[in-house]
Amino acid sequence: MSRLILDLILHATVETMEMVLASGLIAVIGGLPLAILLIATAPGGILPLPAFSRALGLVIDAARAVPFMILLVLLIPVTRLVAGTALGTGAAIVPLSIAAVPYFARIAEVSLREVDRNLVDAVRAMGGTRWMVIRFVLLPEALPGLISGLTVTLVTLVGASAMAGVIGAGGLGDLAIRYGYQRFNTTIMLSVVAVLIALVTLMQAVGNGLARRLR
Amino acid sequence: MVTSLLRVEHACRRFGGQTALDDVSFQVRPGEILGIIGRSGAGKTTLLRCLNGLERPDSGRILIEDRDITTLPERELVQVRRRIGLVFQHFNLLNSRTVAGNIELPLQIAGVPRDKRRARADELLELVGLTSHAGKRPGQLSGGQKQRVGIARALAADPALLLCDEATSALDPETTLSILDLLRDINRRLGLTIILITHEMDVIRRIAQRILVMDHGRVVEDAETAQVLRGGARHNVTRAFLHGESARLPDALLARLRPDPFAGGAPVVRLTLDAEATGTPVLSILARRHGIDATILQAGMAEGSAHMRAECVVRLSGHDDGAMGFLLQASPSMEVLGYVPADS
Ligand SMILES: Nc1ncnc2c1ncn2[C@@H]1O[C@H](COP(=O)(O)OP(=O)(O)OP(=O)(O)O)[C@@H](O)[C@H]1O
Ligand SMILES: [Mg+2]
Repeated sequence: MSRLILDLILHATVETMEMVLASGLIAVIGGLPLAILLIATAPGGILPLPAFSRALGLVIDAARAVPFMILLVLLIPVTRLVAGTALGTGAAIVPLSIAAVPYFARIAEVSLREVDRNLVDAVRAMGGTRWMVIRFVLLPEALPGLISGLTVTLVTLVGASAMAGVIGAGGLGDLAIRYGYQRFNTTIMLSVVAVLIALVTLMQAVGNGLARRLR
Repeated sequence: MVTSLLRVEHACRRFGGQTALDDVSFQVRPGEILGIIGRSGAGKTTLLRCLNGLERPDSGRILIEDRDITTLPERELVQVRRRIGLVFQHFNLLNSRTVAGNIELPLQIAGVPRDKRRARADELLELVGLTSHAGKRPGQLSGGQKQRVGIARALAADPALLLCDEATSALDPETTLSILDLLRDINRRLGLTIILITHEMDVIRRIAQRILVMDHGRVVEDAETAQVLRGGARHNVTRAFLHGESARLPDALLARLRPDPFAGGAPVVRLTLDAEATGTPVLSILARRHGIDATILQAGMAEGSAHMRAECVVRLSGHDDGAMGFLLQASPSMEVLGYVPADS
């Protein structure tokens, strides 16, 4: 394999990591509060507002129902507004994040829902406020599950970021399409697939390890 | 001066068509251990949840240190809850924290600085005998150890009142005894008021000075434990609990045992003699001074106890107030199991 091809692949890997990590971070910042809001306002939660909870759930599911390809195209004007351009790695982070936030919100909600209700009651009975319940019970007790959920989200984002190559996002997906698909360069295409597999395997291993250590 | 730490007045609570609390009234004096017993679904947990404001009664008042908590806004309720410790049947410890971290939690909630929290947790770990387990996770402890952590946590913020909901129901008999001994010890040393919910008469017998029997959401009996054990129970449910206790008696005896005195009936009593009393020839004195013979029907050591306790069931040749008074002195938890025909 030539030096040039190695450089191309390395560069694309860094771009992919940038997209995945940035949108993963935004998924946590946006999705975790949404998940907490869903749990807290659900019937029997610490701030029951069933109508609000249902409405929020509906919005989240609607966002999740749109196929990512469609979302990419639909969001082009928004992306222009936020990133100044619809092309490139920075621009791809916008649709990736918008897809990842509701995705992670639902996954985090499951982990938070599994926290024993009696633990919440215990902290309420000690005179804990709602905020204390979130801080001392919900988040720490759900942490292993949240880490696993984040791992799943990141792996999904690797795939989605490759798809974003279609709109010229850069990264491994873009490379595979430009060299592998359009110029029939099998070496590059197979190398990209190998790197993607390695990346996903590594992420999963790190995520599993962290979750296990915290459990 | 506050004479009652807690006063419940006509508390009612319904869930849909289900009545969980039906006109419940009682008082608790400071320093007392009150046992609340009742069958499953009798409303015990609902009552307890009302006492710390996790649940609000539909009507009636609940006064803690003369403050009605049923009308307090959430913000002030939080302050009241910090004065009440709660021990759970299933411990409810956080596995995301160490044992010491769990004990510190109520202090953290109350805003106590870290070094003071540490010191207090160390004190409590010593009190419940778990100093060497401070850094472990609750998941690494046995049931009895977990409940000790639960008790230490409930005591951390110096509560005025300790509530225990079936605190020993998930434990084996031996561990139950050690937990009850710990609670009694805390009550004596710190003068802490304890309300204890259970469905086992044995728990009441060992630790509660007063007993409250609940049935279908109502308080059907509110009496001194000793009085109930002496045969002073007024309600059938109370007797059913007492009778459940005597299930350990031989069948031949149980078949002849009747709950109420009758002409020619001889009382059958259970005596529990602790270390001091075992040095006294109780049955000889009974015969010599009171002229009452005692036939031993069953005898043994009270199971698993930390102190030596002898337990025996005897049939007395007659009923006599002086004799009963003497027996009660020797065995404060003496229990009249019933009456059998004297000639048997
Ligand atoms: N949140 C609730 N919603 C509906 N019904 C309830 C609720 N909590 C309690 N109840 C009902 O109220 C009654 C009393 O329940 P409670 O839990 O107080 O009984 P308990 O004496 O603690 O029973 P156990 O010994 O089984 O714990 C039961 O009939 C129960 O079904
Ligand atoms: Mg209960």
